[in-house]
Amino acid sequence: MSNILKKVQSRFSVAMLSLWGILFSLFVVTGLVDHYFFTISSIGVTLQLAVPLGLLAAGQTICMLTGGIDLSIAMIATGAAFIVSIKSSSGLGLAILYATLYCILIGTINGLAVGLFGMNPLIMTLGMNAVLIGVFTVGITTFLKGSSTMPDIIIKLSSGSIIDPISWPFLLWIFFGGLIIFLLSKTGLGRLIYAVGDNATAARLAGVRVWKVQLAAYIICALLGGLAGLMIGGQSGAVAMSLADSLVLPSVAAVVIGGTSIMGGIGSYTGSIMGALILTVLSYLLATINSSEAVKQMIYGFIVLTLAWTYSKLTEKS
Amino acid sequence: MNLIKIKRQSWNIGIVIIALGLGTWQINRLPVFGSYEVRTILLGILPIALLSMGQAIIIIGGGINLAIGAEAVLINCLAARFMANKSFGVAIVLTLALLFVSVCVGALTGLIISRSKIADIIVTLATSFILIGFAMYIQPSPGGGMNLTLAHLISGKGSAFLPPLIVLILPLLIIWIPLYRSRMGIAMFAIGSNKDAAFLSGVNVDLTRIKLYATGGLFAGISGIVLTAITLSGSPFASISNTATLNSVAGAVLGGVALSGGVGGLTGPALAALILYFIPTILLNYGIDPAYSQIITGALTIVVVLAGGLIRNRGKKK
Amino acid sequence: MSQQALLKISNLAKSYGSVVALRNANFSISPGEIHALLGANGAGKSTLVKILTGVISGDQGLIELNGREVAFSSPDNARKNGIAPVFQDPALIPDISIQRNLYLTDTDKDRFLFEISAMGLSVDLNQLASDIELPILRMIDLARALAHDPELLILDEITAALPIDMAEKVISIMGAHKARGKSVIFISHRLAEIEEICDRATVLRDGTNVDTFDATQGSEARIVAAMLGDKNVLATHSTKQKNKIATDDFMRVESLSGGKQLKDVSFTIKRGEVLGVAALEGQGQDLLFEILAGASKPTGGKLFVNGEEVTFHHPSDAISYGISYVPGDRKTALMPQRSIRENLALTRYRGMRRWGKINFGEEELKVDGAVQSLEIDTRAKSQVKRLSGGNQQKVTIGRWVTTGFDLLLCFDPTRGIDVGTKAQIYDLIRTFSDQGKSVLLFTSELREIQLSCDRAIVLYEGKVQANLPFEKCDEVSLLSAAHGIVSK
Repeated sequence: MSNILKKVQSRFSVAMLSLWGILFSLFVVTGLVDHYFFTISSIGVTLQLAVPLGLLAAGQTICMLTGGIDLSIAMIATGAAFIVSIKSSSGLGLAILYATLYCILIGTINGLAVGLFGMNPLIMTLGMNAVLIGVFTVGITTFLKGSSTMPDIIIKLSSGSIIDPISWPFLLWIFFGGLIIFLLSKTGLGRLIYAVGDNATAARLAGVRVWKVQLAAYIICALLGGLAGLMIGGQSGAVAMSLADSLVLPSVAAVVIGGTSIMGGIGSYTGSIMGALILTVLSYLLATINSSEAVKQMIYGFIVLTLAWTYSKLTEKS
Repeated sequence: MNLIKIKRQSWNIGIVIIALGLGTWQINRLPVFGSYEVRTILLGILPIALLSMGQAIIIIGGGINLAIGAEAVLINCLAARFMANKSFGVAIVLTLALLFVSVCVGALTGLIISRSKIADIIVTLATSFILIGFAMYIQPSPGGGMNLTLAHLISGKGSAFLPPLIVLILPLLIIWIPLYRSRMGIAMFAIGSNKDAAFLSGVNVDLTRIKLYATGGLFAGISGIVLTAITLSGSPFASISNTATLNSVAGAVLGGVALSGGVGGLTGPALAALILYFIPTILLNYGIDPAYSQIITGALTIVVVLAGGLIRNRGKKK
Repeated sequence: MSQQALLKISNLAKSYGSVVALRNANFSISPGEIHALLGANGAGKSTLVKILTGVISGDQGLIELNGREVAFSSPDNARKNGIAPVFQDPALIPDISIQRNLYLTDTDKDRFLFEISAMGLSVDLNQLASDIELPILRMIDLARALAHDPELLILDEITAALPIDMAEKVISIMGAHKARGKSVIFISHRLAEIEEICDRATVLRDGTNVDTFDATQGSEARIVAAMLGDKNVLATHSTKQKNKIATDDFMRVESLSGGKQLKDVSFTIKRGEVLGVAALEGQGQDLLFEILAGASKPTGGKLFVNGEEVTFHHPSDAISYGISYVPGDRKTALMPQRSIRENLALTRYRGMRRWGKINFGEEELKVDGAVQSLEIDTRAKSQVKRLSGGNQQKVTIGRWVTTGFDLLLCFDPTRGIDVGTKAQIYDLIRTFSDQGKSVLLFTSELREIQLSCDRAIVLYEGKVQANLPFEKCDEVSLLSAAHGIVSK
């Protein structure tokens, strides 16, 4: 009992509790506006919709913990979805292999550029995103011609319900989320990810090959991005160039709301999960009140700012 | 020391050479090259050059504004909505009022960053949603207009290339040069270079940051007005603002502004906009898919930042 | 002291959350006085200086300047009231020229140049601050403060980063300032300097002033007693070293060179030996340590470990040969936001083979061992940035205790650390040596060589100027060799 109290008193938990509080109040407000929201199936759908954002935020968390950021994750996700949808005609296994290789390739380029050549991650990944948009725009009319519908099994895995509110994507999220939390808190690589983000010079002097850690972070991030891409593709049924565009900034926002520092070295995936859930419920709320796109954008931006601000004040005080 | 000075100059010289090279190439392809073509080129680069300069100021001061494109779009929409069918005198007054608005928006951004102590990237990500939402609210669909006399005064008419040239150079002369020489300008460089040392030297860091973002906002405002004068309408699209923001960062970085802050000027970014304009134009001339120009712009930004980083690192080690 | 005090502080207090940085500080400074402010790390000196210079404001208490109550809102405001500080960290903006730096603080250019030339230095005003070496930067900082001709000059550990010749210059500048009837607050860990120049000294402990007295020759004991209080169990160092029987060489350095800074350096380190390195600032010692640690590449020469020639491409190569590096700047060694445990255990996971699941039981064992043997204060264990400087330094050394090493490269490990922790660090170094481990120790305080080393080499202009056996490691011999005076 005293142990729990101690935990509650610790700084981290104050922040965590406030995240729960925010999520709960948003949940209640949404339910009051839309009574349908409180049904089991509606909660199931909301959880299911949170999965792509949650997976993108997982990748983003890892990058941001090393002091980086990955803004090319939109085109990594879209690209992976494109590859799977088009190559699935020659076998799903092969298609997923191609998509995996694609993610590893882009992650490797990002990671090497940042880790070995000291590129600014913001510029590197923005530039990479522009390059990939170009490549796929050219690609779909030339070397990547084909059907843009997702294979049925992917559609099932990304939107198929098992027993409400449990769905296949939610199970996948639990599995991969657990893996990420384990990676960050219980493994040597996790320690190094935090160490590199906090002080790369110190990590190097302690014998850590910093670039390898950054490389690993960007590859893991790209793989999670690819997985998220398949989920988004599966949920919308077909792939389009702007598939994941609208989730990039929310993925960064989810991580920041969840308390991970954009400078690196401090934060957790648990926080990012909360961030992803909060943002998903928020978009649900904005959709239900049937506001115009303009108002939605304004409220969304305003709330992200307020949440980030509240969080930083909360952690600053204690 | 001199070596570094030469190196810094060599960056600008390199930019000029590349711009001239690309310019000659482009000019040689044109059947005629006269003042009309000069005006076309100027109009092509003007909005982005102004935006790059605004971004450059903010990056020099150690920040980054991912909402700068949204700010320009907002001013563009405001101008198009309210200036349509107005007399010249009213339009002038409105222009001044809108520039004041853009300064206030910038100052408010700076204030939020100073007060909340949240990273610039996060705050401006959020404000970009708010500003775009506001622009959509003002001008739900593309349209509006501008007093033609004023539009010609800003963007010229036919082959009159002097007005846009003046609009490009005047901000450099009447805003940047006095600012660079003033204590406030030094303070901006100071907080970008080392915030703690700046504070110990007697700089009011928060106030300087607010002025910094306000100045950046002013440039974004000018860019928005210029955009309205060129297109004679307002376009409330997030995609325009995102591309503009990306290009502004690319332009600032290409123009020799160090992302780490404290280093750079505004002439470089203005010239860099020329390069960013010529590449897609030349490719289009050759009948190549415009998607390739995106690949090249992305790759170019990466390569330039990479090269710049390597040069700076080598300079530091010696 | 019949005259009115220039500055009088009463009941000054400041807390950060639950941490009390300054409890109740009282003292006064007369015109024309050099007043030393002393205290162990975390005693509240820096907080006091920050309040006096307007960097932060106190929670309560009174500051009187010439009998008038004042509260400074900013460093600029303090400067205008005649208080000019030189802070521990350089306050010059790195990316802008010295000229623009001067403009920023409204410093008169000619007065600045006058002060600089009075120091025997010359500075190109168009030079960027980042292109100037640290010791010169400190002197520029000082000249800038002097150019305002302040009533009160505050020097916060300015000599810590200075070579001996420049430190002496600072002392004489303080004397000249005093001669003009102006006052100085001087903070230093070098007690000899305090005895040499200061009129009075105030000792702070736990945020309260515990003793104020005239600083004269021999007041060292009183200073130490006041600083440590009840904890006055300062180990007396055996200046008599066991005359160790020379065993085999652990490391041999042959004609090592690195750019313009290091030329043809050769020496050997035996197993279980503590080899001191003495040098004035900027004689290539930084680069020497970095090369031995694998953090920089030499431009020539050879390294041998246990008789085998080695090349280091990365610090991890050196570590795998048992060579560990404790850098001079703690900021480059620690992860400030992570726990003591993670900081101590960091090197365990450096290789990709250790990227998998952590063996927490084993980790705890190693970490606890290091915490105990180094007596690290673990009250603020969740983030090392909340530890005092001395405890942070222990963590940087402790990291290598958890992993084990054969040779420890210690670069000025006692810089800016209080006397008590210094003693612990000397003891630790001797213990390593007794365990058969070697230590290469650079220290900017020559006295420490005799306290902890078996032998010393002296670097001058990137070369080994002298190789002195223990008997000759007295301050005079070291100092003359460090100045390039050839000894027999």
